[in-house]
Amino acid sequence: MISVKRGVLDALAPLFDKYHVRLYNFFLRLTFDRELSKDLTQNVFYRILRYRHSYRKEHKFRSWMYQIARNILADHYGRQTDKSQDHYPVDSIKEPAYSFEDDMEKNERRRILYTALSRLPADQREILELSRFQGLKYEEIAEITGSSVNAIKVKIFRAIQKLKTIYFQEV
Amino acid sequence: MNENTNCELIRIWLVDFADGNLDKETYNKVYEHLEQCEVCNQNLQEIKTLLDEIGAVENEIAPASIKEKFHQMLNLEIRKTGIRFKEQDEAFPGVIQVLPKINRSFWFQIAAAVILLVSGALVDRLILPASKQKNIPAYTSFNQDGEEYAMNNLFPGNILNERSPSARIRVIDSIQYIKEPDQDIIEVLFSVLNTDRNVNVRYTAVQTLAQYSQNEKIRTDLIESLTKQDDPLIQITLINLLTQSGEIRAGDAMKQLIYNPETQEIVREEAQKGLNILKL
Repeated sequence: MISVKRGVLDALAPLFDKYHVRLYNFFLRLTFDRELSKDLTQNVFYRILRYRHSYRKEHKFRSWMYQIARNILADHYGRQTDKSQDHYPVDSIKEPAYSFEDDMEKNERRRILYTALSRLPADQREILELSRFQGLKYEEIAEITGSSVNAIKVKIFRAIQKLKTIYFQEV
Repeated sequence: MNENTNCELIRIWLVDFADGNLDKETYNKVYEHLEQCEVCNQNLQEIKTLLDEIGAVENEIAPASIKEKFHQMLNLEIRKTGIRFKEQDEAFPGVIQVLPKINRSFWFQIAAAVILLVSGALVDRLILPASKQKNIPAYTSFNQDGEEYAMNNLFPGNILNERSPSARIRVIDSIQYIKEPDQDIIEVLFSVLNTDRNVNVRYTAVQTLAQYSQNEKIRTDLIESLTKQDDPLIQITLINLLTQSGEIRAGDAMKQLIYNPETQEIVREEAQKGLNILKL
């Protein structure tokens, strides 16, 4: 990313290759909308390119990228919804966002997992996405979200407890 | 049971316990508690089941169009900044060859980047689906279609009447696909370079003209244009271009900039560098 900042713009291509699938799935699991996730992923790289001069080398590129992704998602819903509402609304999953495998039992468990996720408040869904699906450590999530590590630990714990409750009610 | 290791406290550690992320002391505390507490044990088993289920989720393959659009956007930015590829992108052969060979100084790159920061509209157009773009026919191929697009839109009136800078940039940008632009087209480019109210549009014009800088008449007009410009980005671009072309006739225009008290320092430095390279 330092090279991109210095003007070697094609150095962004390997970063795109490395992260675009993760980002697409980040948005997909938070919005359950493929078209929207495609656009939002595109917007992340557009902003990276546009604001490359604000990148600081002491920060991890990945953390900076997720900060941008969170802002884009917040901007998207911020424009569309009332501020008092959950800013990543998922009323229902009308059609599965994922292609399920042939195994019916596995399919059912997966469907329940996504349904349970969709019932979590936005902030809990997001923290689980960063922690469990994107595999980020507490420290990195704290940096991305501007919280303390301890606060993140507690938030993840609460989110998992809540998800667990919903999930096992359905199973 | 120690009063600090009650169920409430243990629960907070269960996820890290399941992940094997606890230090030895804490792990032992949790382990000891779990040996005695049915409720926390049940809780742990459920957490493990849930985490396994989450862990089994595979990422969905992203649509190919994301990559396609990303490369279009990247190539456009590269062309706008004039900053060359380190290695040619195999997906878009031919793009690098049309870039003008201008010596890119550090300040030039900074200045170019500043312009990009304020010119989001053009890239926005690329991001928008074609169906949402109004009035501007899309060309996706960088060869034949681009030339056809340019030929169909290159009337001075067309360019000047385009209300948005991004639309004007699009038309000017397409000129590079014309293999042998005639005098009228060159005049259009100079007209834009010297009169357009938007610096991004003027910048695109000078970048396009740079491709034809082997022509002496065009260099003469570029020198004249340098005396008219007041934007640092355009001034620096022209200085670099004329220096790179070994154009010693540009010396007076550069000296004029150096002595002008209104000239910005970075421009003055570039002009001085140009004079040194040209040994004037």
